[in-house]
Amino acid sequence: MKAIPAILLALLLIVSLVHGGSYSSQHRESIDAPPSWRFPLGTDDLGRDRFVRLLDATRISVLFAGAAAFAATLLASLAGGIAGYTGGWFDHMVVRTIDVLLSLPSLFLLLVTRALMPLNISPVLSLLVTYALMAAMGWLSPARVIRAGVRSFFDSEYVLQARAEGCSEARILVRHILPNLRPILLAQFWTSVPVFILTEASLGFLGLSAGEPFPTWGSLLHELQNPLMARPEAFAPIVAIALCVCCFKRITPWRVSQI
Amino acid sequence: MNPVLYARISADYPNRPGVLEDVEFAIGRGEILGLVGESGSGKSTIAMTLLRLIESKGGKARGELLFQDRNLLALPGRKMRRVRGREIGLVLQSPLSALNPSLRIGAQILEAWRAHRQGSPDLLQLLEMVNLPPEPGFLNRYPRQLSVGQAQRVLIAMAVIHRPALLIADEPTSALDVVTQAEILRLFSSLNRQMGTSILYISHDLLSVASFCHRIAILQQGRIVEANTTAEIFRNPQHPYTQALLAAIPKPPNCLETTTDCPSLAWSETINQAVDDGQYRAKDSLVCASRS
Amino acid sequence: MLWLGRVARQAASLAATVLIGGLLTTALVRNSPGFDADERQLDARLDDSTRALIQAGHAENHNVLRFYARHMRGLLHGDLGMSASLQTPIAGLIRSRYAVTAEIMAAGLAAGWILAFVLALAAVWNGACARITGVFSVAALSLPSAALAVLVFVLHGPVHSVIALVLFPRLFDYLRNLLQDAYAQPHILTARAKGLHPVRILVRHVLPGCDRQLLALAGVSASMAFGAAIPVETLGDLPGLGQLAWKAALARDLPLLVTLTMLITMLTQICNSVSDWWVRE
Repeated sequence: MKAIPAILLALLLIVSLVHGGSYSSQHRESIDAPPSWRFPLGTDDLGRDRFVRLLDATRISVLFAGAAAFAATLLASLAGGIAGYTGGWFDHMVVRTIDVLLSLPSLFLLLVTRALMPLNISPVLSLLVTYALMAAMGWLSPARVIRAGVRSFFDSEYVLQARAEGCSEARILVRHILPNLRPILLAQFWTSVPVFILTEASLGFLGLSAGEPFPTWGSLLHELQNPLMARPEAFAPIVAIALCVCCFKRITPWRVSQI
Repeated sequence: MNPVLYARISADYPNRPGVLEDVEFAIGRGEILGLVGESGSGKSTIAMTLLRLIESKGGKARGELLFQDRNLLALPGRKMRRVRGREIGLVLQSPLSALNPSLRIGAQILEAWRAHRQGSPDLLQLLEMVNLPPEPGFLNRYPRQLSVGQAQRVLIAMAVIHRPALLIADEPTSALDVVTQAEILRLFSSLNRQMGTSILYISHDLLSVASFCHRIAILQQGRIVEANTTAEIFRNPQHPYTQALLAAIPKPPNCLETTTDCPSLAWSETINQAVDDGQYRAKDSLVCASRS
Repeated sequence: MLWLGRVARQAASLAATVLIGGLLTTALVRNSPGFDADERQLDARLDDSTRALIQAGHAENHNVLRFYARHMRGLLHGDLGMSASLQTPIAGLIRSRYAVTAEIMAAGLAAGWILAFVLALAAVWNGACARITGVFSVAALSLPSAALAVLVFVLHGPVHSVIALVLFPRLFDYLRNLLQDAYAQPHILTARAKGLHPVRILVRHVLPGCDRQLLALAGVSASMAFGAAIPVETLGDLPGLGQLAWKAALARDLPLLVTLTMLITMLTQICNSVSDWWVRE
């Protein structure tokens, strides 16, 4: 019962990897078509197959959100790890900086920066920039968590014990800190992915995600900007997003308890 | 004579079914019952079940819990609340964290009173009763300004403020040093004598229990394996686990077998007190028990 | 005296944060690749002199530090500057629009908090409720805020309920964990053993213990509410600050963007300072 969303998402991902359709090909003979056997979700106002676009969007969104989450976690572990390890003024500075940045309205800034992009920017670049921006703003709170973790590990009894046994700093770092940090890092990664997926969806809804013709979950939602006019099948991306985020929410506690 | 409390209870937590299985015991009026068991044997669960606080932790209790001719397990939540603190008091371990860090001592004691009664009690007299300095200044302190022993006395004062018929003490001395521990035990003893309060004293330390309990029940893995008077438990332990507990009591050094008036050792005080109370004929029985 | 010193330190920290935030925004906006592009320059009706004027106007804002210093000097005199795109004083724009945003934010925040708090409390008090509310919150959390907005618009619900729905799952998750931890503390057991009324335990023993986290959460939720107000006002065509921010971003209106960012940063910081203050007291 609990595995149903995961199975559906896996199915969606597998089909998205093997299907043969193209997200940009137009079927001019059937524009704005209702759902049929040929087009399970109908076509949009340019005659593009919604189902094919959704499949490709699934691949792109999950892949890029994962990459952005990886980048954010990497940034966070560098900043938080070094700050927690060195302590002193550097630590203080990093913490203050993160505090200041966190008090800025991040979604607002994301919208602003993304909106400032020139309109004639290439689709690939706009895709990269969108996720890069999210990663650049998404490392702040993970960095705080990681820093706190590193500090508490260094203050712990077992590190004291290791020091008393005469372990070198490098050995303490590798043998005692990193293994304990692993679940924290993984948890940050697994929680960042759904956050980025949701943020991208909100951006895309406002038309600020990847440029056409690239389909992402967010940019498919752009069709809904006038919800009262939208067809019911245009809501399919929302279902896909909910499915995916729901899976990640389930995975997170499970993954962390595994380790 | 009717016992104050008769219990035949089982308890389950969602992730740990069968924490207690048909635990049966009774506490007489004015009696001190010691409940001894290793950690994880369900000692604290018994305390939680008697006050039905186990429900707030997601657990469930079954069976029969007769207190003053009522089955507590069948009482509606509202009536159960009138029992807590008024008729059954609870003293927890780790006294400093059992007090609300953001409230003054006086406010917390007063709150215990106001939970069931109007007006205000004589707080200074209450402080004196539990051997705390009877000064208004003391009531203005925060928990962090107290020593562990003082905090434990405050908890005891709150638990006995309504002169409950039964006082449950859940390892009240495990966080205390030996001297303070002895003082607290003496306090329980005197409260028992002065107010006639029955006490259920839960501990993992057989010796401290033996020093002032009338009867002892031994708990192992959610079951009571043996229950008898203190003297009988020491003289004639039946269950292998009881025998193991007795054998684990540290053996006194040779010099102390002849001179028993060394006040700094808990065990010797135990013997003295037990001898004073006439529970043992001689210290030999204890020493023999520990050797067997 | 000590008290005054602390207020001064808090105020200084607040001002510094807002200044840095403003400067960062200026630098960010100024250096983003699209800043120089101005749609008006593509307007065929304008002649060269007008275009040159527009260019000159941009050049004026070219040096980040100089622009920022000028803007701050104006701010010290109570002058928030002129909006570049709307050609009106920013102070007037904010004055005429803040009420709309404040209203939907306040209503949304209140509804979101009440909903989250009541359900979190129900989840902590009752095991059966925990499962139902958990499913509800995961569902709300799994939907992008835009989808929630669409849902409300389709159902013709009140606008502020979008903000409430966006805030609810995040608040609920946090509050439930917070309350769970608070109720698990030993001194709560003492309070229960005293036979206190559950409401009294909540008000007197549980909530005072987590005042700090609650206030911090209030600050964060206000910031989140503003984030949600942008798409809501844009979609609903409401003349509030969110819509203003959206228009400013589209028009690359640097003075307006910086002022709005500083305003929001200041509000968030004030919330944080108050919570800090509370803790020390």
